[in-house]
Amino acid sequence: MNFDLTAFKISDSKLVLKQAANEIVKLNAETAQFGLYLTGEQAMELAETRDISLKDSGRIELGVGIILNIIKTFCDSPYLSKYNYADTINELVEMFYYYKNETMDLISDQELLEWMKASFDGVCEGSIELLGSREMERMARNVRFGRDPFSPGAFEEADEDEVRGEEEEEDYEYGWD
Amino acid sequence: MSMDGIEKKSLIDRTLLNPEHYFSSLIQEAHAKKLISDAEMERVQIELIENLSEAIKGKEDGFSSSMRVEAAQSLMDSRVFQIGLCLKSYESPEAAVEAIKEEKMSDLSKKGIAVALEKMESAKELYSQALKNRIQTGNNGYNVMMDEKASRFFAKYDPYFGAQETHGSLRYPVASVSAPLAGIEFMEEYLSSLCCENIFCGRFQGEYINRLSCFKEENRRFNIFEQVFSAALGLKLCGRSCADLGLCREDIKEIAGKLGGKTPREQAKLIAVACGEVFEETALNQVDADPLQRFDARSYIIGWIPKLTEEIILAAKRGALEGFFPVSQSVQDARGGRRLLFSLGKNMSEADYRKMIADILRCELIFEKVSIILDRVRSLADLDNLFFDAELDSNAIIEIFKQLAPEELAAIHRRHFGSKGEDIYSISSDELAFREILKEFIGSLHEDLKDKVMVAIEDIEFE
Repeated sequence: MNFDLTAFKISDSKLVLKQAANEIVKLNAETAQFGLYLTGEQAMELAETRDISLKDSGRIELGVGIILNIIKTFCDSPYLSKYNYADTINELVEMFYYYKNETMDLISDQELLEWMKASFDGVCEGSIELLGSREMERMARNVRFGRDPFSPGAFEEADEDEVRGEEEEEDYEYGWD
Repeated sequence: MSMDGIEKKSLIDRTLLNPEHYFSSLIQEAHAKKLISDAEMERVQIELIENLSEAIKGKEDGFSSSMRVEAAQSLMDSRVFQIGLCLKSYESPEAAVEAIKEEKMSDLSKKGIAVALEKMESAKELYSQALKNRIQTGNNGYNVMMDEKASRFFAKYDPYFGAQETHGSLRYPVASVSAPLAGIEFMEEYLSSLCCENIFCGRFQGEYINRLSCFKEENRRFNIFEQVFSAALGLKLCGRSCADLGLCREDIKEIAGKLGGKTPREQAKLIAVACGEVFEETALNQVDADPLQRFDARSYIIGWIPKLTEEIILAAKRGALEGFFPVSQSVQDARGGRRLLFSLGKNMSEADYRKMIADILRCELIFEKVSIILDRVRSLADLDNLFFDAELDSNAIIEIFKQLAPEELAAIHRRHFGSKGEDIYSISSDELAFREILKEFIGSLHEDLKDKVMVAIEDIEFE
């Protein structure tokens, strides 16, 4: 018997995907109050997105996992409507696993989700592009530099520090006091 | 009629079971022998995944619902190892297979953790025992292992989430490892081997052990027990007491003489008798086994002797006994007195060396090759390298030997025959052929010259 996890391919099976999709569809009962609803097809697509994202990020998750939490956290966002709901959740799922790796697993699922939601509703004003390319990137960089991950100024401070460091180096090179 | 002596025939061949990956090898064998059905295999796999899911939850404790594949694989390996530990405790592989069929994987895993914890306690006791009997030596590998590595293992070992991990290599090698093992099983076996080796080495005074030639380099990696036993055995083969481990080069020549011209069976018999004498003089026959049966020095050494015998016979066949038996520096100094300090010289630049090799390879005639070598080589270090790099044949090598002084020939001899504790199985065929040419050449020299070379071989020391 092979105990190599990569050989199991458990998440490949249609049955597992279908089970996940069913769980997602069940959440419609909660999200309906916000006018948000996923069809069976969209739920299946979401389960597949999760599967691909996990593979791309070299991670494993047993059970339906984070999708349900993402939906529960984001469903009351003022920036979600029936027109962008499915696409946004798909993007958020991809982003979530990518940044779990980028933050070196130092931030818990819940902390990361709450911060994503706050940024999405706050400074990003519902822009998933800004969330992914600016806010999440800044946060991941803060983690890697050992700073407070959620501090909005830390990124700029870091840049200033680096620029100052480079200037000092230049001064030294030319022999200025 | 008594049926006690009749052993129940086993359906599973124990020799096919891998001690390091016991569970996977057992279940594969059982499946091949149709003791486990496809459906049962599937159940095991599903339960293992469920078990892994629980383990991830336990490890992450709500922190994260996903983890990197490598981390999850390590968790899975840990679970599989724990189950293997539990299954090993059954009296037969068939009984273990029944347990796989009847019990839940999570239960087997829990039992495995209990076994791992027990083994950890036992290994800790073995460690304190090994510390009590430790050899007083300046050998870094041994001291680092005794002082740091072993205790670091206990600090890091996690029987729950990393039961199969060994946490870095224990660079100090033991003489005999019975089977490949992992995790706490490996550590327990390693420490019990170490206790046995320490007990034997404890029969000799530390100062005698530290005088063995292998201790000259503090950082060299070797097993102390092997060297001590080899020295004691060498002395017994010469019919002397082994108490002071005072083997010298003349003794090794005597051993070569005694083993020479005998069949391997006769050589093995001689070695076996000498081993018996070592046991007698060190009173090893009277050592009681550990009351808890965790180790037995006598059995351990007896189990290792066939490997030693094989190595000695091979070394004798290859004329490399001098590299096998460690000599006692103090005895050698007292006997020899004279020392010949030899410098290998400075290597030429890499570019010059490459150009020279290319030029030699282009030459067709031996005298052209030799003249390039004599013209450009200024150090023994370069000369020694080019024997192989320039693809010289035996005639060219002999032509070069003819140009060398006895001391230079001796230095080359020592470089090729004098490495102590050499793994004789790893010598290349080129090296063996070169040694043969060198040996024949020295043997063909005029008696006076040969004597000079032989004396220089014994006295030479490299700077």
